[in-house]
Amino acid sequence: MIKLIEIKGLSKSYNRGEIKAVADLDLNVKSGEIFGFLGPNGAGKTTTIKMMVGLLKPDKGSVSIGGFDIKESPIEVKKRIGFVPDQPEVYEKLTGIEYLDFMADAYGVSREDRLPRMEKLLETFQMENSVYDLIQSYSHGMRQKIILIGSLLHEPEVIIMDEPMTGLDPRSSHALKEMMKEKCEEGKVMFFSTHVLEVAEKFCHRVGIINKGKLIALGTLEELQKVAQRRSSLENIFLELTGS
Amino acid sequence: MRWRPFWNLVKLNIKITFGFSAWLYYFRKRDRRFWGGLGIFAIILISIAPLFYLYLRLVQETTRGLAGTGLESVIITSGAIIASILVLVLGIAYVISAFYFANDLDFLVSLPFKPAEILGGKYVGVLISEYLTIAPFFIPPVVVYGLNIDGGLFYWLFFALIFLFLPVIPLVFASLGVMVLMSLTNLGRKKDLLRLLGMILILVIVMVANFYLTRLPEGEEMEFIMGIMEDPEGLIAFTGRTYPPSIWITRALTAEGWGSRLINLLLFSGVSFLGFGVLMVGADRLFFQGLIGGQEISAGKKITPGLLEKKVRARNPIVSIAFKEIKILIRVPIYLFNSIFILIIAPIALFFPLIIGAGGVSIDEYIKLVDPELLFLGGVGFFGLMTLFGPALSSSISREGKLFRISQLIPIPPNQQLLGKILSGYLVSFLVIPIVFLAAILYIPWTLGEIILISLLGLLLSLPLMSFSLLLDLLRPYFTWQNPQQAIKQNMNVLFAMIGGFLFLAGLGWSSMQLLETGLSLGWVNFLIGVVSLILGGIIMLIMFRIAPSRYQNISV
Repeated sequence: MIKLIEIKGLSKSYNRGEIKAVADLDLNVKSGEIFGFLGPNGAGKTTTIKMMVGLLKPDKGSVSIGGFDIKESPIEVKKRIGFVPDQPEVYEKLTGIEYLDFMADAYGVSREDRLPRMEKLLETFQMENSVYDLIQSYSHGMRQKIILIGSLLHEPEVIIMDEPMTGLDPRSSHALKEMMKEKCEEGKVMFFSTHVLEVAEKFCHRVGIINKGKLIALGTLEELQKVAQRRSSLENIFLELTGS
Repeated sequence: MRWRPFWNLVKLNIKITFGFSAWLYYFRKRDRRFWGGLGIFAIILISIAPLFYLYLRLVQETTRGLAGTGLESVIITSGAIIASILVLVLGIAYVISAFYFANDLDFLVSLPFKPAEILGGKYVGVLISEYLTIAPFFIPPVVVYGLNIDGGLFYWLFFALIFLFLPVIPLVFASLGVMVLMSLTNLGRKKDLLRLLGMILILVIVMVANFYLTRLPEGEEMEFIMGIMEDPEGLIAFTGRTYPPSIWITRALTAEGWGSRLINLLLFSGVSFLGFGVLMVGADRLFFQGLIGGQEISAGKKITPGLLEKKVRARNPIVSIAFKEIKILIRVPIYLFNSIFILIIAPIALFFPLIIGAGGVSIDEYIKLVDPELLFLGGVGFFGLMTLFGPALSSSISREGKLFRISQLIPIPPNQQLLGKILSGYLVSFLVIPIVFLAAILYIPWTLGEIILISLLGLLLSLPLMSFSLLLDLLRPYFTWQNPQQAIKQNMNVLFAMIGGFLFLAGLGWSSMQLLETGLSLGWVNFLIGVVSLILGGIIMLIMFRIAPSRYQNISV
């Protein structure tokens, strides 16, 4: 299987090195994998994700997506990813459809391709009826969904999501999980951070646990169970490894 | 730079900056907000119409006065310079906000756009806003001149093209300056302070450069003026020294023969295109350097119980609200610049020609000419004017944006929250006192008692101005801004508060002078100013307190 995400020695510190947000992170994610990125608040998850999508410059190390280095070829990398941030902040004065059209334009999706994709995704996430309304009238979950749809229109090889389940109703959450399975069957990568350990346990092929900027565990659930003393649920493993 | 993504970003920026999508949506849905938007537009036009009329008359009279001397074309040079300097000066804060503090930047950076495409899109958004700034200053001189000479089709065509290109070059300078500043100051936790200082430095450089460029040769002022007045080209060249493209603009509209006009138009538009090209090349190299720095976090010091005791302080809710307002004002560079530093910059800009002794008359000589009683009232009026310049209160609720939800949730009654906001306005107003002191030390022979009285009256005068500003923002807060600059500059409450406050100050000033002329003593006039301010301020506050609870309940963020 092809490595779609390759992270080598990734580091980022603040306050002239006083705070190490991410320290020497090495990580590979192969095509067809659903990868869960876990860690307590302030562990370095969002910082890592921001470096992966080009929102933050690493102090050291490299991130390569689909064989392209984010520093050397940022545009090629961005073309290959779909990113869903943790805060569903989006243009309030655009209608949903205008936003999606803009996203399709941004990723160069032709009109012929964007129409069926939009139809399918809007139906999957039950946004057909509100897509012509201004985004300012959307609820938190609806904003989350319109961002999600926008990030999937170009059928990216790698989908990076920061806390994607937050704010979604059970039906949309289910739809998202189904979509994740479908995408990974197509050979794509789903990389997401979450606090919902149950989701990570059920859906992820592998998980990585980050704490104080360091990757302290990496592997399948079975592999992690071998590392931890209390070989039970992911929640217990998480609590033990992060010293909570 | 690729044109297609650039064009997509331009379209996006136009839609979100001017709210066209929202307007169209309201129109389709027959939402009353469509008519509300149109109404506001109409009110703005009606509000500025008298000022615009006066300016138009001034331009007409000046042109008439210059008619026959061959010097009338210099009004076009002056219009172009005023418009361009405005774009440059106002553009700095606007550009910094749109390029580096907009809410959508994180989102746009994660998309497959090149730095120049993102910046280019934002640049065009700002550029279009600038047309509204330059229109009242540039259109009247060109129209008056064109009507006087019976311009013909090509004159108006050239004018339209020049108008389109006019803000390009000054905005390129503002953008390049800001980009260099932001990439040089992207240095950790103190970067906001460094950037603010840099912004002020750029403005000071612009003012000083302007002064040196327009300075007359010392000791030979009269000869120099006579020399340039004899030759129309000399006057245009001298006036245009501040901003040489204004000479091309003037010649493109007024030169003898179409060949010469066309060459100047091509020169001006060519340099504009070149400037934009340089900006795009610079953007690819510099834009992300200043933008992608990461949100710095604090040192993470462990707080000992003793330190915690020192840090934690219980305050009265009103004081607590006031302190929160001030802290946010100080910590967001754009707010600090617009609300606080403007109090320093505005007096310098207002009195700069006097301070530097432009026209060969020093400020001391001017002051000697003014009646001391009027000077005193002028001091009080200046205090009020400064309160108007700082939009701290007219955007106070709007600036909260989505976080207004917190104000709706906290168990502090809305009236107390509003009092806290007024208190914060007063804390900002106190900054005017040292300025009055400084003016007294440097130029105006006010006694300490007079300074105290001016400050007290000024603070009283600020009450109706501030409460009116806050009332306007309470009635129609603007929450859907995309960047902090928009919270102030695209907030019509700021403009309406200024217009309303200005009319009040003008009315009060005129009435005071009438009373002085009838023989009433300055003491009584001061007393009346204080009483009127107090009563009016009190009435506005009562209205505000009456409606605040329901407004806080009903406003939907």
